[in-house]
Amino acid sequence: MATTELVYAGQRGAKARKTAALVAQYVVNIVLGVLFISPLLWMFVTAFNPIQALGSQITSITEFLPKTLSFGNFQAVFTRIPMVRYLLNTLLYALGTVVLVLIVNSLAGYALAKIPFRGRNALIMFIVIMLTIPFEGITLSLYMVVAKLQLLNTPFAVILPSAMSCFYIFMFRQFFTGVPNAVIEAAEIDGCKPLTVFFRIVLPMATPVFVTVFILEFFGKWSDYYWPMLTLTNSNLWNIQIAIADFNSRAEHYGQFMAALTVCTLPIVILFLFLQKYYIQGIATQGMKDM
Amino acid sequence: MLERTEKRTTARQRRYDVTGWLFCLPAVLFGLVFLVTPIVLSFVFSFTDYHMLRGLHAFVGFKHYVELLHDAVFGKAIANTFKFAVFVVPLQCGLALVLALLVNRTAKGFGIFKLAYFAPVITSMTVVALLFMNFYDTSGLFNLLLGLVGIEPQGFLHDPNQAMYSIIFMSVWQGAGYQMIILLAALQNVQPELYEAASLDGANGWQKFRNVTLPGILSVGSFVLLITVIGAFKLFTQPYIMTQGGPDNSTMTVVLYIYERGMTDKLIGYGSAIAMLFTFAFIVASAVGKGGGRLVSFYRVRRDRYIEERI
Amino acid sequence: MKKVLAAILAIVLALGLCGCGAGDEVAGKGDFLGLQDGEEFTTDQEVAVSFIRPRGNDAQEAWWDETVAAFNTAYAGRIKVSSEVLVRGDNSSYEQQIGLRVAEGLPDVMYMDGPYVSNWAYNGMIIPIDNYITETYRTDFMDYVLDQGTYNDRLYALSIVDSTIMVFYRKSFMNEFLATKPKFADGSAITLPTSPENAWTFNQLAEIATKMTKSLAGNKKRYGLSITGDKTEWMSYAFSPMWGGNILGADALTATGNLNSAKGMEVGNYLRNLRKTNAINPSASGTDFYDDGVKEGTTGSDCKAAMYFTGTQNITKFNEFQNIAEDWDATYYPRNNDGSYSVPCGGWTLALSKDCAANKRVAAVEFIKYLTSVSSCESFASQTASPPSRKSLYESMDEYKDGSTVQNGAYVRIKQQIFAAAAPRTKTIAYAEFSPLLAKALNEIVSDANPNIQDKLNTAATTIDNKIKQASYK
Repeated sequence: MATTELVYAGQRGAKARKTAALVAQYVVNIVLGVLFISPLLWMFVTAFNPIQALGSQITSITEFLPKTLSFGNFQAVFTRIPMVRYLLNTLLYALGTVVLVLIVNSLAGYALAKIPFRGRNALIMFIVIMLTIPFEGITLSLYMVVAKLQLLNTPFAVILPSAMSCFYIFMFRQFFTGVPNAVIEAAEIDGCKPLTVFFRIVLPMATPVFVTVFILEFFGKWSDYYWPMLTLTNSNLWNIQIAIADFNSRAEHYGQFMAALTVCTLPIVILFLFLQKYYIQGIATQGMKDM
Repeated sequence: MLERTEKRTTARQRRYDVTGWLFCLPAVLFGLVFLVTPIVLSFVFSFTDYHMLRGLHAFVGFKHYVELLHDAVFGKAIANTFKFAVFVVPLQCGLALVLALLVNRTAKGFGIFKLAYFAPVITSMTVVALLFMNFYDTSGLFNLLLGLVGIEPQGFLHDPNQAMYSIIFMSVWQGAGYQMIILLAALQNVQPELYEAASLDGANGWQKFRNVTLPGILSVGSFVLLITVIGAFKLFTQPYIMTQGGPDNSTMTVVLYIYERGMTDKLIGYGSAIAMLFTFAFIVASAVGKGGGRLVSFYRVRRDRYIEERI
Repeated sequence: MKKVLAAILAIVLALGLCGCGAGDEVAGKGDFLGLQDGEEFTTDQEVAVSFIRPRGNDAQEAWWDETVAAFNTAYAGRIKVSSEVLVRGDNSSYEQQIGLRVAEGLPDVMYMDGPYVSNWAYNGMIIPIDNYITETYRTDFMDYVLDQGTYNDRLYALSIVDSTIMVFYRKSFMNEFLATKPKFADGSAITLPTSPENAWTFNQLAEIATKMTKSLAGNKKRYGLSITGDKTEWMSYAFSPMWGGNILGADALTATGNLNSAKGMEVGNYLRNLRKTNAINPSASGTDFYDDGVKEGTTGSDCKAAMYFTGTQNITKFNEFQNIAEDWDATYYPRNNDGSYSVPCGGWTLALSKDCAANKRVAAVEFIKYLTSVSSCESFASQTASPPSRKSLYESMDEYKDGSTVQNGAYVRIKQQIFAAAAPRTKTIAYAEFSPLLAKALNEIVSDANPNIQDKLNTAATTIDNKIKQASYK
């Protein structure tokens, strides 16, 4: 009897403690979450500020915050610079790269996983070594190569160099290794050619890895600044990141610049909201698989 | 009979060879042109006097590498890069772990918290750098906020003693969400039975964290550390946009220095030499990191076994 | 096997990269290959000339579009010019983008920043044009414009317009402090200079600006002066005359002992004091002078700076604002404190690239001559409010005529200071190494929280010298 009561009290205490912990977790999360998101929220809110002032001459916090909602800044961003063109450019580069990346690397990854051709192991070794080469270490000479191929100031300058990625080949290889050999052999016995096997049988099974690579590459290309800045000097070809970096010195006032930053961020955030599940799965599995 | 089989395998092998290489052909071609060639060229250029405007005229041997030994700015760039890594890696990974623990629950609203922590990651570094440049301004938001609590305006990016820390602060904020997601996946992979067993043993929260959680996410944690270190060594966009390496070269980093000497000063030879050293150091560092990761996994297996024995 | 293949490919590519650079031969000095003045350009088939320039402001863009189109019409069937317009961003400057282009080949005619003529000529990016332009054609151009375009005794470039620096001010603010109503606490008043001979000294400018900051309607937000400009170039353009012409030594290649000399310290301290005494806005960003600018559909806020130390290229920007267009005026570039006077000038100029084929050069120069003709110079000068490069235009253009009252005579003052003491910016083959680093040091002296000025100048000097040595300039 006494023991039962003790256990009961203990359970009640545990329950209370659990509720307290949950509440505490909520509170901490809310505070931290608000702090975390506040710079971006600030950017978004002040983009609607119609006051014609630059940041450096605003002397009180309240002046930053818009008293009336105005879309004038967004309008100005789109009329002062060809924002639509920049957005379309960025989309073109991102999609172009992604399509190429998916084809080139999945084929190689499949061959390295499932076709026992001679030289395969050497190739795998080679890719492992190349995996550690940082892009930043070769940009100077890559620039010279791209210049020599007459690709500067064409979309190909940003698309072609990222077509092959040791990292993605590895990801695909890892995935395809997990596909049972029996499936492939059965199709081969049915007389399917290797490419047919790949496209008809293997591809449909590989949607998750394709989506992951798609997301990683698309988001990466959207945010890319360094390489496009070097190779796309013609302002008609700029991507959105170069465009806003340039707009920094040309914005007429604070809100306008914030509007430009918002325009650059909003599309990718919306896309993220749609692909959230896959995106998070993608980076999470990337972490799990590598080790 | 035996001969026939051998012949058949060779025919089959030949077919494998053809299809295998055909499948790899696009990757190999792109790799040769846009990866292998630049690597070889970087290596070759680093021994030449290649000047962007004047072209390549002579091999100069190890001249650039010797000059680099005496290049004070290069020394500073290395020191700054390390400084950035030393601060960012523990701060970012630590913060990411705290955030992962905070959102590791399936109650209402936690999806939104996750989103809040992850939002800066989706925002590109360019946007974040431009935004914070505004905040850090002499009369920007941060100084206004400091003014509210009676603190004098700070130099931030204009103070050689604060510039790098200002960049570190921003980078930690921007990147922590990424590591959080990976760690969160690892946390959710820890078997619940282990926690139950620990509870039965009378372990308190800290003990559970130390003995169950930490070992459970150790190998993923080491991967997170590795990618954070790698990212830190590549620091470029933030100083390029916000400070151009100043003031007093206090935010000059190795990658920015490659850019400055190679692109701005047009000394492709010299820039390539820095790039080669960077690449080499990078390969060594990631090899060490991967080795470390293996060690951690090994340790983790032993630890798991130990825990299971105890339970 | 693969590696061998890769190595072979790489070597082939490397050889390809080295093979570039050698354009067609350049004629020696004195050989005349061009057309005499008034001689008509004839050709069997249309010559295509490529032209590259940075994007300018709206006024400049309009002029370029019009003028290039007019040229193509006038030379239809003979010469066809196609232009490429690069954006001159803050970080990736035009010069760098052109430098990157050398690997793939440069356009035939390039619009370039004047001070870079020596640098580009030394590096073989541009070729002399004096083989194609007669002596008589040159006589009308201002001496310092020709000086700027000359390297090693050869003429490489010709300008359409030029630029200089003035102390611009808002009349509505300035008038409050003139002798008619002395407003400073000590009862003193501002006297505006009447000729370049009695231009303010730099110290006087600082003193006036400081006093103005203190007295401007008690509004904390206002400052006497703004000296803000672009990050990479402005500070060295604006303040290098304070070194009295000896910033890089006699060989124009030695910064140590010159840039960081006692003179250099004087400049550094001067700039720092501008901030310390609140003569200027401590904020690094800002377009203080036209912060209250009212454009169509905007309301404006407080103006922050009464005076603006800046280049004539900004006049068009002032004119864009309804309330500033009538309100701005300008006084002369300040004298050095020791009384010496040198006015920094130098603007964008036209040059022929190394990759312009020999059989195209006459046509390309025909384009340059068209752009620098009297009527082109005049229309560019009036549309973009820049001082023209031709002497005769200062007599014929309304705003520059002696006694002109356009903008209260501001343009006449521009002319007076140019004719009195115009000098091209520091002429050195290492301009690309020198100017950005000097600008960076001066910018940091102004904007840093607590700079050690001597250290900054020393570092700048040694870095410049190291870079000059590494780039092996001789």
